[in-house]
Amino acid sequence: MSTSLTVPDLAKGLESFGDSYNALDVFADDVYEVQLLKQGKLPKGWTQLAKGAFQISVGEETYYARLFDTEGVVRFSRSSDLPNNDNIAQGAILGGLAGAAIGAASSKKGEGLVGGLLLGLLVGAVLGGQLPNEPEAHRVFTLRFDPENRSWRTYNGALVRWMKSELAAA
Amino acid sequence: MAQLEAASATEPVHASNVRETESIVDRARRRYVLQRARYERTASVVAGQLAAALRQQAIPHLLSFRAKHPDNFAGKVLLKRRRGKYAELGEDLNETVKDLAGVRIVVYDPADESRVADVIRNTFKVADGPAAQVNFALPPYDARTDQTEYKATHVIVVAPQGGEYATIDGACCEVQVCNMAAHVFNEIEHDIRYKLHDAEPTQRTKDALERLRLGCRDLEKAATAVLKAHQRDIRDQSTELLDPEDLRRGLELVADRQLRGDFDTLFKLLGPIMTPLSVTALLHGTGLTVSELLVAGSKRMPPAEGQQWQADDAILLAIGLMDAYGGAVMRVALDWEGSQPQLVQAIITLRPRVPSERP
Repeated sequence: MSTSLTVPDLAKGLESFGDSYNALDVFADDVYEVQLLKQGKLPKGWTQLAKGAFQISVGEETYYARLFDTEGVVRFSRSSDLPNNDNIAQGAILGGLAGAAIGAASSKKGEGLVGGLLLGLLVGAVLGGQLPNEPEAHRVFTLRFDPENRSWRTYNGALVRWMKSELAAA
Repeated sequence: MAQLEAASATEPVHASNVRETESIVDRARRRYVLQRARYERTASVVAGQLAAALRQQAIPHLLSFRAKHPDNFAGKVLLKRRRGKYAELGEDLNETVKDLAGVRIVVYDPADESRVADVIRNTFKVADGPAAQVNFALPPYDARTDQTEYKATHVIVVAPQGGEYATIDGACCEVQVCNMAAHVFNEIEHDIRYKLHDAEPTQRTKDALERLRLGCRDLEKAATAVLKAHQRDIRDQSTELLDPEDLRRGLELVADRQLRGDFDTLFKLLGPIMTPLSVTALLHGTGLTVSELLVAGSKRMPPAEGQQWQADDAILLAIGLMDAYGGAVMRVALDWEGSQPQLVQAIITLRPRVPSERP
């Protein structure tokens, strides 16, 4: 039983609510394919679009992944929101980027804060439009992954506020 | 077996009666010592259930409980008998002395006193008789007549019965409710008057008590002002609500009235579904006011038949929010771990009726 998230798991999480949410943010160190990126390998079905941005084929569906190395987060989404450069990282740079993301994620989680939990944050539309001089509020949904059943459930525990802050920072 | 102790309540108190009273008091004290464990458990059970209920309603408070100390019991019996009361002390001391088990609830916000009194009445059966519920801040209690400015609400409740509560069957417990500022005055003033029995305090003490009373009154106003300012911050800002109390207070300010219900569970239902969770974001997502949400919730209530729960503001708000957040709120409810609060059950009963969530 893999205790890491895989792309099919991420796709399943994103599709949990139909079109209500655009993206699923997870910690980079929880994702198997990011571990492969750290080794400088491009996972099967992945196409690099720009530095830290990838197109992913899952069956007949197309998804996108974006690596936020400073925040330690991977955003898995249906749409591509590419950074404003077409710099494609190769080999060692790609590995460094993924390594940085994994390190940042581990650092955020600290010593035992999350335990073995695999957390995810579905991100949706802005609520009610942007209010003047106020930060945007978004629909989100806090999830945790059950590696035994390979399914996502609501996460409603003590880390809700923390994970909304740490995962939604991307 | 203790015998019924009776004395005429109208007999004047003279030397020989004083000796008789004291001996009766000593015997009553010894009898109370044997029964005290029952009242310790009563107070503990009542306190535990109230603590849970108050947390659910998101009412911040300090709670303490006790069984009356035997010396204090003896002192009270002596004082009352000298005033011609407590003529009979039967086998069940609780029939005469109602505060053998006591719970005190001190609220931060004076406005929460009445709310807590409602929680008490909804959680327990209230004892019979007009003396079972007393608000000392209201008539017929007159500060000038009773020479005290004691401010609190007292409710005498009947302990839960049967099953695990068999040992406290029939026991009652006095629950006192006051705010923090009043508590300071109440405790000091009561302590002084209790020690003096029926004697008058000196003018010096009276003057000092009056200064304390005025100081506590100002403290009460200042506490109310601080809480009100914080409540406005919650309403006006878009920062994350930190706890169920923030949620309740923020919505109350917008609704301009007190809201009742399980805001603890409502907060846990809403926490996972938006960021930041603020009153502003919550309402903007629906396009409705709090009052409109309550109306929407009441319109979508399922039929009363077979309903296991009673609608309160928190339940109506949760149901009213379903149009805007239905899929997400339902998912949180369905994934609820542990026993399901009534609010969660209410949402789940609506499952077939939820319209598709707005994009």
